[in-house]
Amino acid sequence: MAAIETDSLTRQFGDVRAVDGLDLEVERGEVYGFLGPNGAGKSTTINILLGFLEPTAGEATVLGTDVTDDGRSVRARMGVLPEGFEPYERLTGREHVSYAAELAGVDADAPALLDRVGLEREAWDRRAGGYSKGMAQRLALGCALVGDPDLLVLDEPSSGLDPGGMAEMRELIRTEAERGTTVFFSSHLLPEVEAVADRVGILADGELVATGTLDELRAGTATRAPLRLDLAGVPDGLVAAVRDLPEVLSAEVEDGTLQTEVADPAVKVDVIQAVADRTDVEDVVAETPSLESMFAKYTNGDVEGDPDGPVAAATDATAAAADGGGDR
Amino acid sequence: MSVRDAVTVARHDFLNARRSKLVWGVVAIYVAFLLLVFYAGSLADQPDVTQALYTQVALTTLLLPLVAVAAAYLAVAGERESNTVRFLMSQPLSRGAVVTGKLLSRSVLLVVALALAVLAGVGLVAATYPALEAGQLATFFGLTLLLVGAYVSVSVAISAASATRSRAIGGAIGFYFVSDVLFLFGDFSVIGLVRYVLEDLLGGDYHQYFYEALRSLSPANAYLNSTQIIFEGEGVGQIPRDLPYYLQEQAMVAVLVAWIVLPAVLGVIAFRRAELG
Repeated sequence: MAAIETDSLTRQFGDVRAVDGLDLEVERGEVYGFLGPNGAGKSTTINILLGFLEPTAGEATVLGTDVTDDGRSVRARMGVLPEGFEPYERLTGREHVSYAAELAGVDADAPALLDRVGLEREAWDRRAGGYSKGMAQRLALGCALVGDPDLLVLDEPSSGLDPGGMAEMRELIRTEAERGTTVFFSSHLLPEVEAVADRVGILADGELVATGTLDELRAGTATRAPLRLDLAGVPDGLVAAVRDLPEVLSAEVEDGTLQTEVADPAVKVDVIQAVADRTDVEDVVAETPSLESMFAKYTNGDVEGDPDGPVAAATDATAAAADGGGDR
Repeated sequence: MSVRDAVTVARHDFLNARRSKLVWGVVAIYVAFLLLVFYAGSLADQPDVTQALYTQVALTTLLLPLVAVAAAYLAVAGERESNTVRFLMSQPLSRGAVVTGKLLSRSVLLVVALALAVLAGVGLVAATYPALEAGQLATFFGLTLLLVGAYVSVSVAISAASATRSRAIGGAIGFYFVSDVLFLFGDFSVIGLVRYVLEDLLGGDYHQYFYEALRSLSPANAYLNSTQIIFEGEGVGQIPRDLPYYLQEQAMVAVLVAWIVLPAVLGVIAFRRAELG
């Protein structure tokens, strides 16, 4: 039985299909990274799993139970770190944990849980309204761990955290996974997913565009190796000639730059040769196929290859990671 | 819906709300006015609790619903606005338990506040009036509980149906203004407008009791009319004799109870349907 399974899950908001026929399967015991840019439909999917939103069509089951039939017992079996968690301003950290424990109908050792998520002792009995973002996220995780759930659902767990806090959050996720808990977490940051996920699903415009282990995804990207040539001039027929070469998947020229993708890295030299026969080549940039370029490709929605696209998007992701930017 | 969950929600909501300075500030204003009325009454040549209570009822009808609105309008909508609702609804409880728990906690909060106010009033009366009239004060307290309950219930229901703080306050204040302020003052009221349309525009002719019955559908007016039970035969105010049963005190109490129960049910239905996106 899968931890999470969706079947043609669809959610429409007016004219927009936030989630479009999503077939998702998360196995028990794995750490599943639900990756996609902001607005791809990650939160909508999670909101449906939690019963916050009704699906327009399709089905979703969590640990074998349909989420629209019995949301309460679904939520009883999972711990949730909600997107953009805000604590109750005038309740203490300890009171949050006991609130969650009472609603779950379990006895919880609040100090042990708060300790486990690394919330410093002096904050336990302080009102959570004064917590920093990082402390609030720890508190949220502590509450999610109440009752040792089989499944943890973490919606953008590192949102609003500084790089140090993000690293600690990853460490906490890893620790929980080692205890055998299934972890389903969403993120718009590739490094975060790369660091902890066993399996990844990339979501774009409400659809899964790629799924697999990190190795599988990397292997998949190796079959689309990008190559860029800066040219002195662009003679007629150059693009057509390159496209006719074997193993060349795409070729385009813009502002004196030829951008191609090849199915086999070994044919790059043939492309360079063919172009050099027709014009002067000023520079050759052979990019390493990476998850980053693939993620960027999907999230930019351009598979043809824009010379600046992959690089710019990869830089964005890194910058976002550095300043701790997230959904607000 | 589990009663245990509702009580858990109520306990934690009460804990969070009672630590709010705003709530106690609003309550303090009501206590101050209530004491002021009793104090002013005590300055008369012959201080009379019944006379002071008559003023007290008028003040309470206008002011206390506003206190109830202020203490309850954010009950559910505040959680949606501040996103704490995502934490709450991630737990295994029903939406009905949330609304019921909120209604419970905000009601308890206001009952405690009202009890404090009345106790302070009783202390003042005992010290400065020749007679305490405990029965009248107790009746005043009991009927006022119903008034508070009605406005808390409506405010929580509006809160449960509102996605944002501004909609919740707009709805709750709007309800207060229409049902209270715009029902109390004779010709310049909703009833005055109905009478104008029915009689002046449509040429109809309706009995005074018809308008009185319409007027009594508002919780504020039902409360005001229900207090006849305190003043009957006391020579205070001008209460018409021999009213039909639907204008008697029992009917007024029934109207108030309906204003407690029906909005609560509608609030639960509204929150069940709400999309927390």
